[in-house]
Amino acid sequence: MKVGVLDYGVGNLLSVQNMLNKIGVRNELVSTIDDNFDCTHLILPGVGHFEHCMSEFEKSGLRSPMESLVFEKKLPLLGICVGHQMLYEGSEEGDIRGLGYIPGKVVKFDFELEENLRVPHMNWSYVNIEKENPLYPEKVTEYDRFYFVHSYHSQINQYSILSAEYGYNFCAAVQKENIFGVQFHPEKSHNYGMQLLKNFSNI
Amino acid sequence: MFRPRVIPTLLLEDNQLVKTEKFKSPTYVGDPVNAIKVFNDKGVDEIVVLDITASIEGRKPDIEFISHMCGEAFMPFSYGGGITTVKEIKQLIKGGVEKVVLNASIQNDLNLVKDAAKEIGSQSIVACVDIKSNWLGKQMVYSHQSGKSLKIDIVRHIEALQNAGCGEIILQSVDLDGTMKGYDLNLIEKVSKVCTVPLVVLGGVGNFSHLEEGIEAGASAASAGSFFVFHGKHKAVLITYPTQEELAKLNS
Repeated sequence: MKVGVLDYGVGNLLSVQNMLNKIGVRNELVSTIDDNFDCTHLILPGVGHFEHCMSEFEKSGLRSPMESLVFEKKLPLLGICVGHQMLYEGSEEGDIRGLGYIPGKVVKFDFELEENLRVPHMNWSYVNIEKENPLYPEKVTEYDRFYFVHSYHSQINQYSILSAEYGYNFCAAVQKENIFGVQFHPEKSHNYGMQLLKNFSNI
Repeated sequence: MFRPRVIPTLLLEDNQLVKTEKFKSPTYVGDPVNAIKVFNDKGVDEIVVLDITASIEGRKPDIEFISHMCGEAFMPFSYGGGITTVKEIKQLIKGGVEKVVLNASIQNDLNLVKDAAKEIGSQSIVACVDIKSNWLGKQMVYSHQSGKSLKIDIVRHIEALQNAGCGEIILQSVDLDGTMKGYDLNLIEKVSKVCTVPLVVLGGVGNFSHLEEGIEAGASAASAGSFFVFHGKHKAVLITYPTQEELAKLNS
């Protein structure tokens, strides 16, 4: 087992690696994919602006080899934060097209006036399990929680496995076969995130 | 449902942990890496580390040391002190820092905020605003670097920071720093009315009720220093953090 963290020049990759090291999961940064590629799992990180992340990813040349690993060899892929949003067809944050593996568009938090919550949503939130899944199969304690930092979110859809609430319910994680995405940051979510990354690397 | 964050803010001087009172008389409280390990084991929501002499001495962030601290933090980690360029911010983020805290370098010029927000994203750019009363009792934005109050209107300054692209504001009371008497609730109420990004409040916490009061007054997150590192009336150094059961009282 070896997790490849896709390095296209965006995001806090060291945090992801720190946590994988902590839980004893072999990992490496991946900036090119060639014949010697031996990772069994892939993580697609992303922070900041959707359009910036997507255009940097397209420029990196990683998309096409990643897609053959994910669709032909069925390697599990986990998108984190904007990496999760990139799995969709697009986002209100920019005109660029997303990867389009999951139908729908990422939207900005939009509150009724009486619920004028501050954006970005920067909090630890409890999550609800929408569907049976291998990433977070059950609540371990009453206080299980994950760290979220985002101004945009995906809406609950047929592939949602977890939801969270900020003003209203939104999609916190998706799964479509071997493709996974989490809106929160497991690499910054203490032992809850450690367990989730452990579960991912055991898929 | 979400729970407002409760955030220890740790102060660094010569890479050692200290705690001040009203921004003066720093007391040594321990080794930062060890403290972060303890806070990590206690499952803290987030941690903020501020180097309080970097800007005064014109020192740049010690990226290697900061990255070493981050390696022990499996929660969001913010760093502030001596940051003046987008390049340094990028190095810090690459080194494992989640958010950078800007203060001295953006008091007169918001270009660093604008450029950094554009390149890295607002979610990683935090502005710390220190507030101190002058001799007439009027509250002003304070410059720790020069030791002087600035002729900047607090509300206008907060609005300008948001417009420039700050993703979070830390509002700190210099007058209440280290006093453990509770937050400046009037100040929090005033600022929270105009704050559209998350508002973290700092300065004055001595007990758990103070954290609750800060949230009720309009803060998104409650931060403290002394409360998490001192214990008892003789201020013995002991790192503590509320339990999850206690923290659940803050749920909204």
